[in-house]
Amino acid sequence: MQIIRYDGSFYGLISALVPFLKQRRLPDAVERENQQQPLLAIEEAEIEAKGTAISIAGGNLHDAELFRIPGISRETWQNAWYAFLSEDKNIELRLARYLLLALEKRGAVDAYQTDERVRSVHRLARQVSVERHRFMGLLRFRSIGANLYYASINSDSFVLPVLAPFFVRRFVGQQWIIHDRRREVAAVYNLKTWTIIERKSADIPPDASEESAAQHLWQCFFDSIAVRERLNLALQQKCIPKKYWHDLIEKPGR
Amino acid sequence: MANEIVEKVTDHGHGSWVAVADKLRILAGAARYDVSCASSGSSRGSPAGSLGNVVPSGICHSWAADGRCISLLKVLFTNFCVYDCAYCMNRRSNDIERAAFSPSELADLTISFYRRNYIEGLFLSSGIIKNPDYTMELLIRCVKLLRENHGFAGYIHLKAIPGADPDLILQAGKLADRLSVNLELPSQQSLKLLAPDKSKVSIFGPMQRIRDWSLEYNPPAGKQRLVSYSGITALTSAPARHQPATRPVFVPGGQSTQLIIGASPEDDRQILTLSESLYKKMQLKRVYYSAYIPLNHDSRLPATQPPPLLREHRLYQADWLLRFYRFSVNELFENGPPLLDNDFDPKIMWALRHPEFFPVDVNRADFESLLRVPGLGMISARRIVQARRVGRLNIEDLAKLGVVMKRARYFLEAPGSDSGTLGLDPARLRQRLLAVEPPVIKPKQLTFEDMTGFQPEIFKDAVMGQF
Repeated sequence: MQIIRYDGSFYGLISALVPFLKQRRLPDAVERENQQQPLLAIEEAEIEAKGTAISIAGGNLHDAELFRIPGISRETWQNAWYAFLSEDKNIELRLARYLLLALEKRGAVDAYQTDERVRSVHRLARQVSVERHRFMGLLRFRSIGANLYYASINSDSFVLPVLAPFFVRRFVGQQWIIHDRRREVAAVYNLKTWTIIERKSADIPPDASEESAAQHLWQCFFDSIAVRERLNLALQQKCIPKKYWHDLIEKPGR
Repeated sequence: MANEIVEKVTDHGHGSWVAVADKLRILAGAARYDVSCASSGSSRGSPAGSLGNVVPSGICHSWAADGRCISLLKVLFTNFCVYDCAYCMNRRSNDIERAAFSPSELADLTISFYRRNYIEGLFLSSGIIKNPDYTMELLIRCVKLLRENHGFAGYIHLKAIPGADPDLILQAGKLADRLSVNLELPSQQSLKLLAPDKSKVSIFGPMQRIRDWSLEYNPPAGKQRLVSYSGITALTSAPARHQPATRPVFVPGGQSTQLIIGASPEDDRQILTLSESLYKKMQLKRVYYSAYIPLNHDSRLPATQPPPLLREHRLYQADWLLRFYRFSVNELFENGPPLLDNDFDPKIMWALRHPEFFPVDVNRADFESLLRVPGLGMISARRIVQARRVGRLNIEDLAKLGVVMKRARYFLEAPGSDSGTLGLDPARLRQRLLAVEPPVIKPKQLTFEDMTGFQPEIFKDAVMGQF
């Protein structure tokens, strides 16, 4: 029995898998140390404020020496990384099979879309990508201090590592916290770098004084912009599934 | 009364938030019949000291109770209007609540929403206050505040006010990501009847100029460079280490327009012919269709009726075929009446009229032919082309690729396909297809996110028109 252990990070998993992949074989099982912890990737989550990613989490897979394996393309790594964030319970072995096939097919693995090993990874990667895209729009910041904003999410996948860089680019001049309540972690950006830290799900800061006016204005806009002659709440709910309503400022469904 | 408030607009007054909320209620309400809300087609990085960026795919931030996407803060600057268009809620002869923002109020509101990630940017239109030039100047003043004082690098869609001085339109286009001039009605006669203050010239004139300026100011595709305007650095193509240029960009997101459907007698073929020529000759990025909703009692308008939402939906589908599926209007309507089919989407309508084109061979047909198969979208067609490079595809493989077969099975040929479903005569095929067609269609504007397996890069290709 060949069992590999890793620290819960993507980098850790790949480091452990590479020796197997190089010998064209698979481990029998993969165990994650510290099962309680979410798939943290703290050291990978550093990014320079100017937007040049230096890490996997920042999306720049090319820079890491570990990821230079002939036959595994950038697209393949990108799929693997996104699929990893789905936290699917068999993700480690799924990725091992997918990457092994990638080596066999010498770079063309992503064309084998009828192969279950490829399909399942693509499906999981797409799931994460779709949820990330949703939060790019549905995430709501609240002002909690001078140039300091806070948002709370409850995502199905661990989207934080791929979501945070988007908000770094967008709000490069404001400090913010994005709190993943389900995993009890938060992405924190301090105008220079961002990082992922632990944060209790109950640890929700109070709003700044001007916040309620801004929220009221948004609700007012949200209600006025709907064309009542075309009321279609079913379509609205299809576009914003109910699980996201809790963290919105506006009130869908009426 | 109106004049007093008009004067107030010009000073830099700033009301309490309660007063702003009241204006917002009125002026968002007045803007809601404008359909366009896209924040797509442009791209800009966020240089140091600025706020925000633009992503080419656009982002929906919420969906209103009518199911439409909310991407931009869509408001009128004012709903005072000197015009008296028959179909418009804000026409001068209507007795309604009127309001106007001040430029700084609206700029502050936009920033406050943007910082909280409520919106991608601002969609600013307006009633005509005093005259077109004066109105355009007010819009420009607000947008300048955003770009210059707030360093706002997010998306801005501005309405080019018909009849405004060309210099003002040029200035507006250098500040905005997208400009639009609303056609409103699909023919000159209808325009004359229903919007007597507007003319074909006052609409097509600015449209042509915007197209020409676009060509003049924006480098051709593939040679786009980092450019700056109004103190903001703009990136019009994929991020790269380009040399800075000094030329300002002009509406990097192009221009769009809007047509009201069902207030005038034009048929679908006439409407789509107009759209096709707007895409080709005016190089528009989008034509929006808006089902006519009776807001005014006016003898020139059709009597009260439910808005033609299904017709609007079919027009969007056909428009999609023109822009992304390489259909022409002539092709769509040959061998049939100038109306789209209520029962089926326009691609099936075309397929039923062209049995000679089918079945299409999954393993041999080119990409364009695959796109013509009902049930195959851009993503499915791409997957097929990619997957067949590494092996022959049979019918079961198609399902694995995520191809929805309930319609496609009548048109696609692959090893293992059921010969009983292929080569049916159109009448029987029609019956079979009706059985699989969902009974209730929820009309809406098509967006890329409705497509299965939404992929931003494909979206970008589509928006930029690079296939």
